[in-house]
Amino acid sequence: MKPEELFFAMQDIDDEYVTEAMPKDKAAVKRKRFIKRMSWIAACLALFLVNVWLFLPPPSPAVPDISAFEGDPDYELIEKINSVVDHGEKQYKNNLAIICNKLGIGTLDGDEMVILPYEGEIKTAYGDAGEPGVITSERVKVVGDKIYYSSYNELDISEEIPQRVNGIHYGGELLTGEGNTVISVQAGDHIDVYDKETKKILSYVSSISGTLVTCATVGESLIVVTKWRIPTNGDAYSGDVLTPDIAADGNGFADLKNHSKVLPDNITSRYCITVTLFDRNSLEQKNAITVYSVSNDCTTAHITAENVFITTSEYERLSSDGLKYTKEGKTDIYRIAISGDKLEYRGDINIQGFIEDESYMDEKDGVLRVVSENRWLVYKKGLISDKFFDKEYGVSLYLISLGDEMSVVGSNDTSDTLFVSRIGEISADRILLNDLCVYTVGYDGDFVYIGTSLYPVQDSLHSFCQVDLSDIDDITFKNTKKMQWFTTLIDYGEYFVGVGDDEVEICVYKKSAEGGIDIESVYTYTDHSKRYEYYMDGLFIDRERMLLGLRLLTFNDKYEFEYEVFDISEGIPHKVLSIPCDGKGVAIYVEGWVYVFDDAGVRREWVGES
Amino acid sequence: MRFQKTRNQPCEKYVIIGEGQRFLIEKYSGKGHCSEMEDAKIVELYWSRSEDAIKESRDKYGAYCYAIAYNVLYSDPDAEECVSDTYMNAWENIPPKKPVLLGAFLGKITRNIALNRYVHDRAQKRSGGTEVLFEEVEGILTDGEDIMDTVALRDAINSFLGELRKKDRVVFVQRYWYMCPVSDISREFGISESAVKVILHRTRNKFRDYLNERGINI
Repeated sequence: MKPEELFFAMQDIDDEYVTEAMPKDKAAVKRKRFIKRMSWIAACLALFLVNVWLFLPPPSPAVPDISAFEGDPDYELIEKINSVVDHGEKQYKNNLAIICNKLGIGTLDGDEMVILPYEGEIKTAYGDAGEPGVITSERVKVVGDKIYYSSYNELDISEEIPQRVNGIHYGGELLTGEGNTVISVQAGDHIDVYDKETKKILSYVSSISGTLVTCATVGESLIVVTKWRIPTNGDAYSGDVLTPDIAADGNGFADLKNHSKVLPDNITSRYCITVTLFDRNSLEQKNAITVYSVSNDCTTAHITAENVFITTSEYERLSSDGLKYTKEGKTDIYRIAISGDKLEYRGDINIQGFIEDESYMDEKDGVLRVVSENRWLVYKKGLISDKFFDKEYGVSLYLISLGDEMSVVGSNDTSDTLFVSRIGEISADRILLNDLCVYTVGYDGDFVYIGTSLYPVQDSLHSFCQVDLSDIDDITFKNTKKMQWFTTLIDYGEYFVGVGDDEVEICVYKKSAEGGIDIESVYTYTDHSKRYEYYMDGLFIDRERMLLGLRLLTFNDKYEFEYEVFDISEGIPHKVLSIPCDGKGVAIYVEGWVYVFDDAGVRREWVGES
Repeated sequence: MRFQKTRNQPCEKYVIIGEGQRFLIEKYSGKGHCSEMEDAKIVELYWSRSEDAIKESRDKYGAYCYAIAYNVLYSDPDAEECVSDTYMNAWENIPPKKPVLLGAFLGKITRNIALNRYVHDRAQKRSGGTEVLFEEVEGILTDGEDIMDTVALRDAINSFLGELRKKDRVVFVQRYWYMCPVSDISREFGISESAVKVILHRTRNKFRDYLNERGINI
């Protein structure tokens, strides 16, 4: 018998047994199969919908209701600002990118982290960016026979043994070195003027909107530059939110007086930069200008005797090329003229490249000279996020005429905006245009000095370049042809000094009779056991005594600092002092003594007067 | 009289078996009275040649018949077709027949149609599950002369089933009559598949011995 015949034979078993063995589950097989099939369809549909959702761009942030402000004179502007997604905030390509970012997948790779500016970054000068007639802020100030430092109140150095005087706590940036007062600007929101004799506050501003970008005294005026953001909270949309607040002498918050608004045609950002002018003694607020809708990427400001230059740098996406596209670094420069106790907006200009700090700019004879670092970032398009692929660098030097409006001037202009071609085109000597990046910039009369590096910097292919601008129709370029890595450039009159970080390197150049430096006259001091902390509060410059003080970090695992002082009066960096620091100390030279302030207190060492 | 609880239908029912009479009564489940018609009434519809008979049969036993056909054929459209043929076959056979257990009656028709179709189409498409079943029973079959008296074989099978413990019988019938997969049987009884296979193996051996004792060669 075949098996199937047995199955046929079993066909007629008793109904009782058939009924008895009726499968409970099998009766519902069809239903279960239907449910299973529907489950598959539902799962596939859900998977499809999830995939669609993952690759959809994320929803725009909720826009606050501003209907309550209809009728406000600034309602049109409020409406525009209200609709803006903050420029500078990270924009995700799709929902999958948000999830990956939260899980730490697909974040920026190392190279990109190095070259992209931090959001909201405000750069302080590493170089010596002082302008004639302008007193820039410092952490340590000498006023008469007193030294002021934020952590140590004041130090009376008139006595045989300097006495620390308690009473007033100074904080933030210290400004004046003249008269009877000290101005302390605290991180953008607090300004005090002290009488150094009575140690009493003469006047104060308890609050001013924003974060401090920079401050300086110009003549009898105090200029404070702040950056702030129009709030997203709908409740904050009233007329006065478009004008920064100030609280002076305990009178409560009020709008800045004589405030002017500079509004672009297209509002693309909630970020604003305000320049406020005070009387430096009474702190009476005289005038203010706010530039609205600026980038939040990289901000710096440079104050001269006649102008305030504000820069914001960011990347702009250029047109796509198949699966790749390029972002180009661009900088907006805004000019605000200082005229007595008035401020006046005098236009803006857009240039190629990034301006890292205020030492990249210098004003001379009605011309703003600007060095920028060109950056082109190439990206590959991706599903989750676009991937950084390649980069190119270059250096540009702009001469910007400061007439009624800013404009780029020059004779060998090959494009509409570039005056001086990229340095690499002038120097054929192992400097490649696309690989040059800027490390530091220094100005000395008609000469511009640029510390450059080949990227990546680990290759240590650094160079020190000198550009002669005395004849703008015949600009010349010199390269020291030395592998010197300068992060700070200092003009000492007869000499020009470059200081490099990583391993300590100090180069002293003698200036030539024709102007500029004699590149063959360099004398170099190096110390491979320490590195220079290239922040402005990490050095002091005393041009009268020809001293250079540097805070150095020793290459060991103890994170030990030393303050070292060099005498360069003979054109050779000669170490005259080395003081261990407890933490990040700062120092200053006063009448033969070097005072060092650190976490352990204050001490002084005699180095002698000139 | 004994009550046998079944859960094979959408609403709970009790099969009352006793004194040669078998009939179903519906039990109020608390979630609404069961709307399915009693077998006797459906059979009456067949007898009165009402087409509602097929509709009621489909409502009550459609899924059940489908499951039987699917277990043999492993094909949705083929199983659906078998179930349709089942109703036509029932329509042609009632009357004269008057089944007491309509489910078993329809199930047998479905199984028969499905098996015939499977054997007919076997050369073209073999169902893995059914082939496995055939292989399982090969141990029972002998190379000797086949019995020609199918009635004697049917009686022997019924007699054998009657001697089995209930659990072993139900497992055996589910496997070789309903042709259920071992996994389904194990799930229904809450035992492992290995345990089901052991039961089937022992029961097959008993069946072979039972037939041998009676001189029945298959």
